[in-house]
Amino acid sequence: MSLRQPLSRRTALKGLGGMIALPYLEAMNPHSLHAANKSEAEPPRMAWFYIPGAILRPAWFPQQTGIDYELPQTITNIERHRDNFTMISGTMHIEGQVGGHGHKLNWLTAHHVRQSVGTITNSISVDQLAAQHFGHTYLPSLVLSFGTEGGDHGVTLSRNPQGADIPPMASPRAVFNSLFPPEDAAQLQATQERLALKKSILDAAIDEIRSLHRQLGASDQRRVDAYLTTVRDVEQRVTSRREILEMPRPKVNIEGINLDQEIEWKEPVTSIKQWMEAMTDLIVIAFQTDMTRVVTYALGDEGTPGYYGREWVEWKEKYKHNFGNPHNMHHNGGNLNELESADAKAFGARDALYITCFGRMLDKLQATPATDGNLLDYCQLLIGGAQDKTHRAVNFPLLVAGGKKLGWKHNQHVQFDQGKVPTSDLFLTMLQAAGCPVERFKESRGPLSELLT
Amino acid sequence: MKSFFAKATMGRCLPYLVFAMLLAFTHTTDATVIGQKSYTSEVKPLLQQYCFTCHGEDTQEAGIRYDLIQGFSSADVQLWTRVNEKLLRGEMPPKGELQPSANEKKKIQTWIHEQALGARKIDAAGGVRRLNRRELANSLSELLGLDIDLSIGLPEDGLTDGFDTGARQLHDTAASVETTLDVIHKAVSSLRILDPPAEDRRLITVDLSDGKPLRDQVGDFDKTKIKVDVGREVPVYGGVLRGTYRAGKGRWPSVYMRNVENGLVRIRFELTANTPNGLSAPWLCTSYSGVSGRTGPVGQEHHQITGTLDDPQTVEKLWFIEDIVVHKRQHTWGLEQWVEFPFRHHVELPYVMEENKKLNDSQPDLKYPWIFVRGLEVEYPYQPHWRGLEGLGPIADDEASANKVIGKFVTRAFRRPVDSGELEPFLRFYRSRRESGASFDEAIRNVMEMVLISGRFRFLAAVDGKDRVHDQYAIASRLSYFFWSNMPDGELLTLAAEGKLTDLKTLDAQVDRMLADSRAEEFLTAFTTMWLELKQPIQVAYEGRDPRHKYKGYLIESLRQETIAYHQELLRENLPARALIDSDFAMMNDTTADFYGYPRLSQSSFSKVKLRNDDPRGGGLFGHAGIVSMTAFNGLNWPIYRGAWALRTVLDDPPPAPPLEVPDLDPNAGANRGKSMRELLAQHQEDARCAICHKTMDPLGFAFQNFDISGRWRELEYHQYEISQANEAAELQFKGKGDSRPVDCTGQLPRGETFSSFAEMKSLVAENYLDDVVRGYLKRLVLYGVGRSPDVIDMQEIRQIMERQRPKSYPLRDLLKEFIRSRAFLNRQQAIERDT
Repeated sequence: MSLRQPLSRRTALKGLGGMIALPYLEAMNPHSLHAANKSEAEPPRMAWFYIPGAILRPAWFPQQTGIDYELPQTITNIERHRDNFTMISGTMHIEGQVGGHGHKLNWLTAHHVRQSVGTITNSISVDQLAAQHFGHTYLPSLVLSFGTEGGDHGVTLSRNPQGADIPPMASPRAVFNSLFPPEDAAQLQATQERLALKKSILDAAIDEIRSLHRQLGASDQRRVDAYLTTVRDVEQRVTSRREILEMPRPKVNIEGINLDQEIEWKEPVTSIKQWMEAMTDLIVIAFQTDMTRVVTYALGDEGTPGYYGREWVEWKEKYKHNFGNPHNMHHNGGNLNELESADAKAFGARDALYITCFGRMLDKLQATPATDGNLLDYCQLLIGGAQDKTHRAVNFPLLVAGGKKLGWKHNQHVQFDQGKVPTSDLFLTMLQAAGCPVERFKESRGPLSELLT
Repeated sequence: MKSFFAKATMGRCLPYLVFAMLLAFTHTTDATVIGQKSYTSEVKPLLQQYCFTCHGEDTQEAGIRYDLIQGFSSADVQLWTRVNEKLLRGEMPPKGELQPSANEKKKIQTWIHEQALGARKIDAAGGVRRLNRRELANSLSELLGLDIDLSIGLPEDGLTDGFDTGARQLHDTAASVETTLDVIHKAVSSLRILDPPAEDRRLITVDLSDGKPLRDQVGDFDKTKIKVDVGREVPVYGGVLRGTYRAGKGRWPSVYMRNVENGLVRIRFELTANTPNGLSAPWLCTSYSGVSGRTGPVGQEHHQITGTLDDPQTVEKLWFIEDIVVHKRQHTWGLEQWVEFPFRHHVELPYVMEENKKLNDSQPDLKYPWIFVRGLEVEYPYQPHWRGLEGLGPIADDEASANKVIGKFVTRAFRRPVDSGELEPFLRFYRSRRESGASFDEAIRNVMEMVLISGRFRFLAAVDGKDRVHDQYAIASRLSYFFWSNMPDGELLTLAAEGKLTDLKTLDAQVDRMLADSRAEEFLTAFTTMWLELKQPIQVAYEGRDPRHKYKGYLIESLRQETIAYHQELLRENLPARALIDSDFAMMNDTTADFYGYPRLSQSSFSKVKLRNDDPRGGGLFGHAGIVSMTAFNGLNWPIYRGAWALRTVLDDPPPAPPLEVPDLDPNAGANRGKSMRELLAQHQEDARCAICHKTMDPLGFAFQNFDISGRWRELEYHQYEISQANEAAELQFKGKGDSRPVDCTGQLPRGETFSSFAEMKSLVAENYLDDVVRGYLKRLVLYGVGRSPDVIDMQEIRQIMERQRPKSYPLRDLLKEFIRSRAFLNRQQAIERDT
């Protein structure tokens, strides 16, 4: 084996045009090892989309509850999917509230975050819990964001079981490269060789760890035992990935996905729309090919540098307003009483843009056939946020789309008593609908039967 | 631009528990519950009688409830430790409530003690534990002989009460193990054993001092694929240098490479500095950013440059191409794909010098400090021989050599002698790799990967009393990871081989030796940082634009180092613990001496400075500008935050987490506008739910009112402060607004002593709270050195240590020695059982 592997297939990709062959089972059948081996049922997928900072609530929350609710302004763009989503209001993280700007830290963990800078304690996020229970896919999960850093100013929504940040990806190209194994024969071989070597190293290490385990006293065995289990798990994953690599490949259309757009938020370079379209297209392909079943996607951060997308320049022009500091915009932008203010209008436009892109993704998932029906019916997709114009984390604006075949009723606005229902209940509902054998998640008391058929 | 900070509301969730949420109803999947029977018959009735009223079904003061408890759960070790402490100190039940009799107390305490012993047998946190990220990165560098920060890309660890050494949080997931394996692969892949250097190795050496055209030196770019851009020529020292630099100006050489693959690059700069008389040598601050994709930023390095033209200073840096962003942009010289090494350099000075407007790169004024690049060297791929080959004799492509190399590597990695049985799996793997067609070097590298993912490398062995020889080496590792966060050196291994590491005198001598060693930097930095929460941002702000902003990076770093240097000095001189709170000296360097208004120093390293008698700040941690700046949360000089910090880190009396149903204290909200912080907090305390903690935090926090946002002493405070960030370069500005008044720092300590000045507070703490301070310090040592928050049994030992050291006024290094001798650190379980 060579010491160094060729860097990437960037150049190789150039000549291939839009159509790229990807490892795949038959398009109409369950694609993963897990599903192929165990049952014929289409496996469930889950994704979470985080709208940062203030969401313009008057334009988001419907006035009425139940089935005959009137679609609020921000949501009108996905009227056609009315049957495919539920609007939820009134839930919050009850114990796990955060003060200040840390909502993205615990939106998916519901953890009471110790937030002194430099030392953040957190716990596993709901997506990673789901990923633990889902079968082995090529990637356990996709963690997407607008930047690539975790940490104090973390832009990732996902945390591992120790509560440590999982670093996100921001560039569509990086996502694409990590999602799909190389298509170039030489590189595919190099990848396979590396996986084979990894497997043999792990196999050998497992024996060694087992022998250490035998030497220890009972009290120390637990920790080494846990390590042994984990290393075995890695070995399993590597084995699965090798098998996935050897599968036949269908063609996936990536024409029209702008993979190489420049991601730069400090200047108005990147278009929020184009970027989100590329990322959601990749999510669709990822779900379609079953390369992963779990996605989190932070659409931005509350403070800088999240708000210098190209669209902000347009909105600035259109609404005749100097937005100034994005942080202050958030405080003003969520203002219930000043719907006509420039800040509110811009935030309404932003929310609507996110929802429009989200709807475009729903279209594509709906157009993708699944084992029985379409793929959208097997995806639970949550979009929303966690705060209003202050830093209070109450009454989360949440919308869950898809998953009708997983038990979702949809076409309704469900309003819960504020401060009584933890968002963890919703997460538990989603986990259980996806077949994860979990009894509780953080503050959960039980699944929300109102949402299901 | 409106300020980011000024409008920030005061989130209520500031003072957090160190002992994170001791919720008695915590259920974790791996919690084991013991002693149910004795609990129900003996302990529960007592708790019911004395505790349930405030910690039961209806009320849960401090988030604690006992009514759901069914026995001693391993998840509740900390809760029971706290119960025991509270009973011992007579703090619970609170005064005025029904008190248990001495016998009843004893009954509860005995039960707790017995269960704690039982719990240790089930889950000996502090026995075997995994190396954390820091330790793993250091060990890999040491073992592989690569001077590079391998923590890049390694997964982060969970923290236990703010420490990265807690065994319970150091567990793995499939993702983290796989990531670790990838980092190991990356590191090992650069090593050679027998192979000659790669045929396509590129090596470029540039000497900028002789004026030879760069093109002649760098060679043909099409062949070398390396481009060096060194900027403008600068006439200096009677010749011409390039790539020169001075504070805030100039241009640093850039290095570009094209057609790169994975692997190591070595870049070496030869630097020379111009240091005018009386000034300290300039600092080269290098920040690394733009590191690719998923790994995040890499951080900063500071090098003080003292090299001369004849004897230049070498600054060398290794890079993995994998860690660097690969650009695809078309460049003027037509690169398809290239990397630019992500250095960003700038020169910093310890204090502001008057600007000479006429200065420019082509007219260097040697009255100012400059850094010149005399030469540089780039090598790619850099493939060093494995350092461990030294002393092994001739190596050839045969099995005997392989056994020799692998034997040495495994022995080093396991930090102890290895028998042939333990070695065999690795040799077997070597043979199987060879059979599958791997070369000698490849097979050895594969074995190295296997060793580095093995349990015996990744886990610190326990001292378990089963095998004396094994225990000796386990102690050697424990010591070296405690002081150096790295593998034991020859002396420790020799002492282990001689069986001397349970000899207490030998241990004392090792404390002295290891602490004096430069590698003790690891302990001093990591421990002090986690103990005092020093990772928080220090905010150096000036009123308006100020030339000093330009130099504040070095100042901020120095203010952080000051506290670490102070701790080091107390240990070095074995000073009494009182000095943590109050002393007559401070540790200063060139920039902090200037900041504190003391005579100029010319050293960047810290030295002891005797404080002026009239310096109101005095010595001790509480007056360190870095600390009081960090705790001026959101720039509001918040007494709550400072008070909570002092209680949590120094006084070992962490306030409980704030209740959730209490509304935020928002100084900008309608009726609150215009009220002083003192008025607001008094108002806040009228709410009984708030008063419980605020009556301890706030009055202590007011002691620090003499310090402004940047930790400077002030006698006047303004009604309000406007804090703003002037520009992207983060020039923080602040300005007092409204009426000013003399600082009022009257307040009260947790046990009711009142004070009216900062100095008075310090002397009260030093007189009345020294036991608490020392206890807190020893508890942190247990957590850092043993890997668990102290349980009831550890607390008993801490008290014994304190009793022995109290008559001597707790000399700090003696405390450390006591800890190293302790049953907790040496894990002498049997001894514990015998003694109790």
